[in-house]
Amino acid sequence: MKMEMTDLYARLTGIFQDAFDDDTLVLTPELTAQDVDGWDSIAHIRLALTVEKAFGIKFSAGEVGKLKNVGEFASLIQSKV
Amino acid sequence: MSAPSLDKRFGLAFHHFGLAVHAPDAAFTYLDALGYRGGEPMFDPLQGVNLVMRYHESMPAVEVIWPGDEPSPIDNMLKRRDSLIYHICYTAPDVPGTLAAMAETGLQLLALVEPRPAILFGGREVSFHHVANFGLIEFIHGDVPPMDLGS
Repeated sequence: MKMEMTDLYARLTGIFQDAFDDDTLVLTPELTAQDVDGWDSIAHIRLALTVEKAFGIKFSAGEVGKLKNVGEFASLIQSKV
Repeated sequence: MSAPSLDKRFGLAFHHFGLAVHAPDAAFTYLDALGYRGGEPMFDPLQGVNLVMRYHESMPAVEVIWPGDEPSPIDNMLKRRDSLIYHICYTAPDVPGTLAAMAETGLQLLALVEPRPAILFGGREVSFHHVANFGLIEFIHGDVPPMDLGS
């Protein structure tokens, strides 16, 4: 059974807030790396590794590098849980 | 330089460190003064960066990487830094076997891009993987003698 997107966003928000040390960070589908201070390529990899562990999923080659925004990230996660 | 032995567990042999810079002049000056020599810089359209290998008879090889005119994968990395050694490259005769051996140790691996031909290594395929809490590693695929890769 697919995880509800609202539940997924709630968990993902906690991961992002921890990663960027910002309890006020609110995730929207349109949010991009340009909108979040510190979301560079290294932070992106750390996010992906954290998400893999948190959701018990595995990303395949190239998937995380193609993501354009949080909405695509959430959809990718939802397709795997 | 003699061929390095393959690590028995992962089947890898060190090839080079990857150094990202905004512009290569200072890196060339530094490495040249240490006795490094190397080939001509080239632009890799698949990676979107300029590249050159620098080799030394007794020190580890260094790949100097800097952005081209278009956005590149190292732009964000260099936003707050003037340079960074950001990857370690190995020759990997058996990439699936290496990845399986790494997974068996409990290491968390993230495959970053599909294997793609690298202009710097005569079109041989390379792939990038991130090892959690270690860093970015590159594999040059295939059973390739180091001397065929320019060292």
